[in-house]
Amino acid sequence: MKTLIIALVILAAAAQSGYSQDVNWRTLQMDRPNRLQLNIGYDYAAVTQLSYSRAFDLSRPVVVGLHCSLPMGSQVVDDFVLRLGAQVEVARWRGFSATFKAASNFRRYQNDLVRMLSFGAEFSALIGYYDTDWHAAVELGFDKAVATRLTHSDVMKEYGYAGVRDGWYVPTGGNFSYGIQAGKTIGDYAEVTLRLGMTDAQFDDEDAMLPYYLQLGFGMPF
Amino acid sequence: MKHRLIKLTLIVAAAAAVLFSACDILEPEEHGRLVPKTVEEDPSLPSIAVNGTLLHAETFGDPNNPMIVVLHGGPGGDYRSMLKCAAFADDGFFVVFYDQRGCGLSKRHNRDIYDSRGISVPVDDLDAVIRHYRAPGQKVVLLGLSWGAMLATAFIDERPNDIDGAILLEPGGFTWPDTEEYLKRWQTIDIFDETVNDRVFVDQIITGSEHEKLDYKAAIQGAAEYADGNKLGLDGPSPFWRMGAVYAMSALDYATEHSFDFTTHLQQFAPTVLFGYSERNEAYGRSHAELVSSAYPSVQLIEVPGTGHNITYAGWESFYPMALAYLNTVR
Repeated sequence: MKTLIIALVILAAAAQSGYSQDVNWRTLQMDRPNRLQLNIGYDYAAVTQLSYSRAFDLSRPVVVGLHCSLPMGSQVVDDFVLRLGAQVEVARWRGFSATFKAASNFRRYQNDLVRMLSFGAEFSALIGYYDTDWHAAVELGFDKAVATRLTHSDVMKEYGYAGVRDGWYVPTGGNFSYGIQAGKTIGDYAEVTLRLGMTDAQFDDEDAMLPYYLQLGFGMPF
Repeated sequence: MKHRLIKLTLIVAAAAAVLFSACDILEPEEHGRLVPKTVEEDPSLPSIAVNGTLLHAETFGDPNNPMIVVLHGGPGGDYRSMLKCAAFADDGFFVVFYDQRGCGLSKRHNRDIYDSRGISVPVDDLDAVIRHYRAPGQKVVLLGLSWGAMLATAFIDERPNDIDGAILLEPGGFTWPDTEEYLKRWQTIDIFDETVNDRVFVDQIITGSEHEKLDYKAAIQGAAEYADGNKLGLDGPSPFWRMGAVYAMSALDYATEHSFDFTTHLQQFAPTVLFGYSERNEAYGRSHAELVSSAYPSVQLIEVPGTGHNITYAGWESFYPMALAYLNTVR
């Protein structure tokens, strides 16, 4: 079991070459390799998301990025998601492209009963049409919470289960996502983007209370 | 650059591997890890075998005294937060507590049994519990909080001549439309609110189909009920053993799909009902209490001051003398 877990963690870490932003491969320019993107929307909470990414010209363009997602609410930093990852255009035919994204993620969640620190991995594939003015793509993704550290509060032990065990729990969950993303270029470089879709818990797991996601974004290369 | 990325990836991977190999790795589904063992897994817990299941149950007082059967809320809660009601044993009553089927420390069941039989499952269980303890001619009073008060009414509606009194505290409703209205007022969703955030964010970390995981997740999400800004008037947690997530989900699904009406025979119930609502529950209030309680022919309506929805826990000091005065009229 432990070997499997270590392998999963390594896999998650190795996925660190991917993720982050909605990239239009046709407007990507290596003289403006950096990009900031701001999203607002719903992604397992009403969220504000900020991303930074940088494009690299390897054998094919690769975009590596860091992404931070903060839920809204009265306590701003008790819950958040950090993602480090990259995406690459793996195939291209005329205006169509196939994109592969991978990321490792770190999530923090805290309420009165527990603090959760969770490491996971995300993978997604996109197929769509990309033009210099716009793009639209369908997206299929999977997000696995590989290992989660649960630390329970005194409230949990007093009012709930005194024998609750703190520790690393493996694995704790996974969700598929299906949706579309689209973008419209503004001026020469900037872009407004839209992602929307639904989530579906793995196996026969109960789905999320609100199994949808929606992101409106604005990206600016520099 | 490519080599740098590979190097960084390997360093992170190695560090993570060392970190995890030095730790105990736990499985969330294992009995007793995240939620307590049930009577099926821990035979030392007090239990009764009735109606084809094993229920966690305790009694207080002389078994020959008038019986009070305490019915917890939820669906899916347990009786731990209602244990202050054991004090009625010192006032000459025989107090019976049990965790409903699939809830608290009672045996778990898969949802197919609830899906197929609906409300008849907890009503038949309550009947079996009463039969298990009742001596010939013994008076029985039902004391229910929230869902427990709805269950008490569902039972009275089926057997209006079997019960000698009822204390009903903030039942959502005795019909699905009334209940739905209350739920809408209580669970108004503001997606920018911390309460909602605490409930939905965890969906990306914990998913499950196994009872233990679902029960644990329900308990964690349950903390949102008393988060700042809650409408139930709760200013802190109430004690619980285990949330019966499967029962809670199936009961709500069943009500949504089939609706219900527990009022068809209530006019035949002769005893006066003590019907309580809390001062601080913004979603309830006197108007909803009057609407819901009007299904009974004889009602004593009380407002319990200084508390929210968890009346038998946070509002015990106010509730106890009101309830005792009523119980003494039933005795």
